Amino acid sequence: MASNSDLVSDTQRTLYPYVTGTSVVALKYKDGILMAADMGGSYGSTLRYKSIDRLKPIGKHSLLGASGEISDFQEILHYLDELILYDNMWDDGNSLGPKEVHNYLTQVMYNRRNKFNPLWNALVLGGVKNGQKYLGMVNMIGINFEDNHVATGLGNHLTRPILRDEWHENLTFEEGVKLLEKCMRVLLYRDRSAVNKIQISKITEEGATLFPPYSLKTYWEFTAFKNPTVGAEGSW
Amino acid sequence: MSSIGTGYDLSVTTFSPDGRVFQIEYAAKAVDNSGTVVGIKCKDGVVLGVEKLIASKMMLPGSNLRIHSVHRHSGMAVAGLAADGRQIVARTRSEATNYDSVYGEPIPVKELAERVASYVHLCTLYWWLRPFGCGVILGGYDRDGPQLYMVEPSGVSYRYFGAAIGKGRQAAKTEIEKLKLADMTCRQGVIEVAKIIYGVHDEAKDKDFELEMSWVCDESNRQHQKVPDDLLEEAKAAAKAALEEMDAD
Repeated sequence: MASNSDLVSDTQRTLYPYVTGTSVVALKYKDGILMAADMGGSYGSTLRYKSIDRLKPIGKHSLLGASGEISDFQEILHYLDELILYDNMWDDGNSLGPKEVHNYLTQVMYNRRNKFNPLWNALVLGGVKNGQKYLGMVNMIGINFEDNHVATGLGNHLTRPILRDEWHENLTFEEGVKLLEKCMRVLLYRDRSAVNKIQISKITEEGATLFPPYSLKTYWEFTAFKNPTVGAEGSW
Repeated sequence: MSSIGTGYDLSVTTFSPDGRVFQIEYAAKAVDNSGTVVGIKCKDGVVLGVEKLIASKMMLPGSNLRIHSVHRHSGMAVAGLAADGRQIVARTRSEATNYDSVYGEPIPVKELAERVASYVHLCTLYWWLRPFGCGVILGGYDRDGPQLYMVEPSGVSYRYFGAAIGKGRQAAKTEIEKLKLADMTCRQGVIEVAKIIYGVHDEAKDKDFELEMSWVCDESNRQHQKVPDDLLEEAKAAAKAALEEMDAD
């Protein structure tokens, strides 16, 4: 019996990503969710695009951050746009909240994974509705969960430990931004696909705000950086 | 005005000797017997209004909406058989989202009206389908500004400055013709539409009604939405006052 993957040739399935975005980091704070990502789009090891918006507001109550294949992210935005449009057209005084959007994305991602044609992304979905804060994550194999702070890609390994130590309930906006900047700085130093042009956005009961992109201050004069091969002669 | 089309009115694929298709005319009667629907194109947008006759005191106000958003920038008000209307709205929404998917921009209102008209006309071509028993007033705002179209059960669609269908359409059209639409803003238009609908409502023949209004204008950011509550109340109050003035004469 011919299965779907026999009938559909390889050119119809995602096999590997081409233009990718790196980590997204997000945390819950007093008034809502703060999310940060850089504006880079890498073409393999080339940092090809440096002004890609990877944080987008969805409807009235949510914010979506994506890492991974940028074209798949654009496709997801298209699906969500139609979802929100139909939701608005009901005209019933209700609107989809972050939990609902996260669930929808999980369904989409998991179903694509089951057909061996994934959307090559790791998505962060955060928002506030009726005073309830929500922050969740879903990736290309359909793994999804919600937590007080999430990150994608290398962020999982480099920034979650920082967040586990330093996050607490009811961070103020300033404390939240400072914590996110600390996370993004670590990523900037250690992630080869990071670019120094970051965007922070917040979502509260009032709505989403995307702040203009800016650069982090970096310090390269650490003594350890001076003679990097001192412990391993011959390497670079 | 009505004539008996004995023998020639059994199928929508039969012409009468004087060139009429009676089934389509009968479909139009379904529209004529429904509550009045009014649409006007003002300077800065379009206003739609519906006289929603309440069939039973048990119905919740705000239910059984007659005006539907079809995309962000356009909406349609339906008169006639409600179930037929739901089908047309569903199809129109599908056409609008499909156009957006393919061309990357909101469907021009003219194109949308043509697609609705085409679909309605389709159902007048085959004996195994029946014509839609509803008329539709479609209002939208695109690059070419605000536009108002009306589609009849025959599949005919024209662009209008002002249109009315349903029971009180003759009286409503007379009132609309008196208005100076080119100089009116939608804010003023909402008040006028409310006055017209209250004016044509027949207290003696019909039961209570609920006024439903929507607009697409610069003030609503070119999005189709229900008229804000405070403006709606203002319009209802002005309409009731105008009625009393008329009764006083």
